[in-house]
Amino acid sequence: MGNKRKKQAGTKAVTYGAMGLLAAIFLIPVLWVICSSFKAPGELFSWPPSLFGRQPSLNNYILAMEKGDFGRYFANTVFVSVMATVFTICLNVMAGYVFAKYKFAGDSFLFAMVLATLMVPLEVIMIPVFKVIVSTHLYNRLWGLIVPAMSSPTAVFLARQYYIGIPDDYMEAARIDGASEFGIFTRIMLPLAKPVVSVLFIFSFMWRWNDYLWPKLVINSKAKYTIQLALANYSGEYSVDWNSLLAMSVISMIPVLLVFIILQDQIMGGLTAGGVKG
Amino acid sequence: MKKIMAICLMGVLAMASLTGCGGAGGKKDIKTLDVVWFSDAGEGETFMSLADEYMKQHPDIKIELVEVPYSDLDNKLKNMINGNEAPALARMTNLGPFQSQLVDLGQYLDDKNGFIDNFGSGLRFVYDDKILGAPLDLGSNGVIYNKTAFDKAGVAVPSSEDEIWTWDQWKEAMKTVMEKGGVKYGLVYDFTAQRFTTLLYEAGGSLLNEDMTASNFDTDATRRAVTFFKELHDEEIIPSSVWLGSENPNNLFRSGQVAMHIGGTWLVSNYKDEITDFEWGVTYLPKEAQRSTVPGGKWLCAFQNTGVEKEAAQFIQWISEKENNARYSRENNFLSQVKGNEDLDYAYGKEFFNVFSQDLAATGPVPGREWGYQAFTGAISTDLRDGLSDVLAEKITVDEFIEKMDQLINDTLND
Repeated sequence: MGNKRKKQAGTKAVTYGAMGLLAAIFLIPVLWVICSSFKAPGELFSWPPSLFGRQPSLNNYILAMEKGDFGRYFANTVFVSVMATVFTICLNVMAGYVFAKYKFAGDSFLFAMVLATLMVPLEVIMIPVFKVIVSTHLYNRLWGLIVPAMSSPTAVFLARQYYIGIPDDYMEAARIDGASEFGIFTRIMLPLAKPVVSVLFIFSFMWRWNDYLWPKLVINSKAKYTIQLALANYSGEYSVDWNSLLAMSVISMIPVLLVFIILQDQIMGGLTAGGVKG
Repeated sequence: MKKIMAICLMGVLAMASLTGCGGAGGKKDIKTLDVVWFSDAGEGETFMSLADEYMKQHPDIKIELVEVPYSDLDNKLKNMINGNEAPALARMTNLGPFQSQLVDLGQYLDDKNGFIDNFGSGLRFVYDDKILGAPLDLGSNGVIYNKTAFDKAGVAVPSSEDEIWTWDQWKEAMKTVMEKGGVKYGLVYDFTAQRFTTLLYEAGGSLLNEDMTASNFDTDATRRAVTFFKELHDEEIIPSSVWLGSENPNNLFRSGQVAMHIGGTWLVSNYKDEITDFEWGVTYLPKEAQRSTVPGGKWLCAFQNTGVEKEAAQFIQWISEKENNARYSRENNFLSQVKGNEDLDYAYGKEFFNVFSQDLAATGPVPGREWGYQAFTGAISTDLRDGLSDVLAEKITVDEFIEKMDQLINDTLND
């Protein structure tokens, strides 16, 4: 008995040790970025390296804030991420719901078409989409970042799979009670899909927040820069302004972290739910 | 707690969304000049403060900076041209791919010859009788050294043009500093073809023949330069992590682990604030068959089909005036091509710039001529750089590399 317990404790120690090590491997670079953001320029590459430098200060943050209009870039990014996410969720969850619950002519063909677009990487459709953006006068506008991101086959797929797992009985009961089809969706089916909505929210927000390639193509004026564009501009031909880059990277991590903290119970539930029912 | 955070976050998002909505409405009679720009240090700020001055004098002009990271510069420009949204102006290092898109400034300037005459020798900016841009700032390759490490090792760097090292002396000096100076490496060398050609020209070689019609790459001078460069790597004087990895040479030098850095004039304004752990200085480039550096720099160019070509040309003329150019160059430690600005009173590092200028003055016409042939260098520099990496990694031999490159240079010229 005692042996068994010892063995269990041993296994536990090994498991936790391995997990701790893995977590450390992932976390050390992030922690290093955070620590380095408080160092003076001369100490960033000092050898031997130190955790915070000799005189940790907030100078990098203050200087970076003074140099660029970071408040504006931040606001732009929040605007794009939130709007794109809200539209993504509205459109795609509705589409997924329709594909899961309604039968109509050509429904499976249409769904196959949606899935087929999953196989085409962004790089392939980039030029056509860019031309559409230019001819619809969305070039150099924040909406040019939002509109192309609205429809997401991944989101349609996730929503459909989730709704297939919800019994039709809910809809029938609601119909008997006299609810309209749209009412059924907004009052019953949408609240039931909270886990999948949370997953989509967090993914879409993260994608838009971290997106660099598309904003780089579409946005020109400094006033419309997103954070990722502004961060990239710290690197010149010969040198990189590491201090500003570090400070602003740390700040740019915060919103995604907040969204994740708020929605994390949902996302964990959502992922396992998808795993069981998918 | 979570609820409060959620409410706060929603509040922030809502506010941010509102500010994001406010588009910039502009008056119609104001002409906007977009300037695609990249910065290594504070030159963007100096440029904008000059632009502010210009806008005060010309209330109908608005100048806006479109900043991009240098690595995306060419792509961004190509992309904007494709979208029919070419910028009015751009700070450029590589005219080659854009020559047919650039405005011939001569068409819009009252005194074309006066404009050309404003500049001394250096960067080429007149091609086929067309003025494709104005030399904005000049730089040249050079050597920065870790003074603390050299002092510790008791090695003195050349202090005048009479004491300039040969390659062998240079190598010995670096080895001694590695042994006694407390540094791990002797040298870091920027990962670019342009920087490598410093050695090529010093060895007496060149990329092209005299009238730039055929390759001159397959020579003993090239062989000497490539072999020497490989030796420096094989003997671990240069860390292989720069040319065979992705290590940034600036960062390595800043760590104090390296005795010397072959970079250029631009490093002075970089290292000024960023190195506090040790003393550093500038010394003369070493020589083999001859002394040589490679001049380089940036142009300010205007693009066609923007509707503001004339305004762009006038602005270029204004910023190229002696006083404006002097302010731009002085504040950012650039050499200047504008006549009368050869000897600027830099606030920092005047002694360093004396050394750079002497290196430049001792350089023959070949490096400037070849690197001024932008359509050519633009086409071969990636292959040249990557071919050298292959030699260092021993994927190909020195002879194979030279033969292949020689062929490529001739093919490129024929195209």
